[in-house]
Amino acid sequence: MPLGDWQFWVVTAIAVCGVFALIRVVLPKRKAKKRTSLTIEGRQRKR
Amino acid sequence: MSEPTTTASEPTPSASKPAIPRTVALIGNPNVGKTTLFNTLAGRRQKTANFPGTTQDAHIATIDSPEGVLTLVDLPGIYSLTLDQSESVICRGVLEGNTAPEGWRARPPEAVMLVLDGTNLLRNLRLAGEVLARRLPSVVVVSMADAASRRGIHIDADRLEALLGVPVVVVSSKTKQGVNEILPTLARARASEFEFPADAAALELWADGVYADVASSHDERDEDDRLTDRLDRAFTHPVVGVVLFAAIMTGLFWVIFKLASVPMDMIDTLFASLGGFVAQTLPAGPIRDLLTDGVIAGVGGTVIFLPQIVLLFFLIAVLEQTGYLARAAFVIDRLLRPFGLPGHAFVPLLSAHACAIPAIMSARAVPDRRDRLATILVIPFMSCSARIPVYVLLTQILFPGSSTKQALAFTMCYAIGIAAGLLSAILARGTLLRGKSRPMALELPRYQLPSLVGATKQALGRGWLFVRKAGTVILAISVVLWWLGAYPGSEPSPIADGLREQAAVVAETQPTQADELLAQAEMEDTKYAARRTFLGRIGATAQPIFAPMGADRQLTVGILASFAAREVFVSTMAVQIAGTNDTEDEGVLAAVSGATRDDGSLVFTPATSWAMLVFFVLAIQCLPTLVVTAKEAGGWKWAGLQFAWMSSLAYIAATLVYQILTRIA
Repeated sequence: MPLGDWQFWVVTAIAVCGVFALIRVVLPKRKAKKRTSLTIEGRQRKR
Repeated sequence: MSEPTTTASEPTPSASKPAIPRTVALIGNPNVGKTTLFNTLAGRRQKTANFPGTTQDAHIATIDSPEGVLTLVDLPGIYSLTLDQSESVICRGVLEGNTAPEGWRARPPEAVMLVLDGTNLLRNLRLAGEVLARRLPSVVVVSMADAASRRGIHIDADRLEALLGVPVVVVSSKTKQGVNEILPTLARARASEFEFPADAAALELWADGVYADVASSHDERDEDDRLTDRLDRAFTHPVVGVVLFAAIMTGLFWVIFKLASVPMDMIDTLFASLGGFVAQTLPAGPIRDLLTDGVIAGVGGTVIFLPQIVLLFFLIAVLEQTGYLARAAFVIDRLLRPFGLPGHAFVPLLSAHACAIPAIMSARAVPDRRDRLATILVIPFMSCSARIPVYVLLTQILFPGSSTKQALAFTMCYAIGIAAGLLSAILARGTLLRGKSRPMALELPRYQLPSLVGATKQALGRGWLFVRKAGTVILAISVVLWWLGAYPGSEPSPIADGLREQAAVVAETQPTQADELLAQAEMEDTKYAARRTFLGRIGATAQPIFAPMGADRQLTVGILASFAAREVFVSTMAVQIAGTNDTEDEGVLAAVSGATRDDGSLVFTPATSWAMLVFFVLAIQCLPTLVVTAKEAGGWKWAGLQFAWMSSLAYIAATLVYQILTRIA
């Protein structure tokens, strides 16, 4: 491996980005958790 | 102390002008001119998204009108809000504020624009009763006013407004009658205060009453109706209809292949020039190689299919708008039903011969979920245009110089693909997708001239989806494959060194022989490097798996690389064997057909070539297709099943072919 060549590191970083992009496409997205306020008898309560 | 005087302040113009609702849902029966109306109002300012967890398209447009800015959402056409069909579920969800297109916040629309077909008002009124009962601010748009007028139907808009309790505007998208009144009328949208019947029978009676009150008809059948009847006698005939269908579809594909070849060549030249420019501009090194051999070659290899895709969707949209597609689905339903597929599946299956990705996307038109899944699962069996380079390579190796035999083998590949697809559909419908499918209920719209602008918009929208979805995946795959095929790199091959030394010795006395030796040395270096790269090593490791179907190390690398996209097989083989990926060069084809294994025997024996041909007919070998299957079918389990079934079938069939042929020989 041409570890001393800076261009090798650039193309490797791009390839790693490609792998992540593929993983992102393949793996299901996580849904963001929704925080809703708690209301009891018309008053907002702290959780 | 006098009382202070107060004067009522005069309302400002802005206060007197009712505010336009900010979000408007467009709802109506199928084929009432809803989408045409949406296109007329939205122009080019529209976006396409999905409703989450479904394959239903949502067309959204933000309209900046003198009345204010509003977001218009075109919902799927439905006959009732109460049905257990995905279209009805989506419409209910949107009206209740539980569903929104992907990327949009779910909340009830501020107004509903209910589109009723003026030529078929009685049936449309049933949906109107269901929608208005929801007490959302609404406006009724009676469409196709010109067609209704030609049929002698007169609709009393004022009376309809009084009976429904919401503003009514009568429009024709064709003549533009009343179109300018829609947005100002939206500002007057209000919830009806009337009671609407809840059960279906009472709703029907109510609709009968309203229709009798607002519509007067001379019941005249106009020229359009007579033409529709005459054409339908031919287009829906059990025999003539099928023949006409075959002729129209053959013409459609001829046009696609003929017309698309020009822009495809242009795109090919453009990317080749771009690659050449980058190669000349940048200094030699990995970055230049990544850009030319990875990014530009990968993206170019995908975008080259864009003209076919845009043309296919344009022509399908034109056929749909003329009203023919509904007749075609009706005719083909009889032929496909024994295989567990509906008539709706025919257009996706046919378009899969151009490319499986838009074909899977167009399977959205199949309304029943089981039918749709079965269609999506078998679409990749149809021989797409990306398989053509592989078929060309292998048939030329099998039958050199005999174009008739090559053509027969080519046709056989298509026939095997279709047969495997139909048999797989029977299997899928008998096991995983067992159950009754929705009977095909089709409304046969009247024949009309297509809107070329609308068809162009639809085609461009689909093209953009293809570029966005498949292009990004292909780009990532190309980059990763390039890296695996380029590293860990290698020192020059010892054999190549020997050849170079021989070339140096004879350089002065026999320059031609020296050049040949140098060329051989270069090829040897490429083959040596290919064996030592990660991809080459993976090939050597995986070779025992593919050995039963006659694959050596080089063929294994070709098969593995083509899991990303099947056309990669040809260039991978060429790179490994000939040291060049210019597969159009006759010399390269000759070099590939005469390529040898590590033991000196031929790579492509007749048995291996037939086995590879069968493998590539049946194997899916296209990652973007799997990605689109996962998206359209609603989960990776379907893409996994598709991959496992097609790959197993391809492997078993190719192994059988190889083993039988080697024993016969």
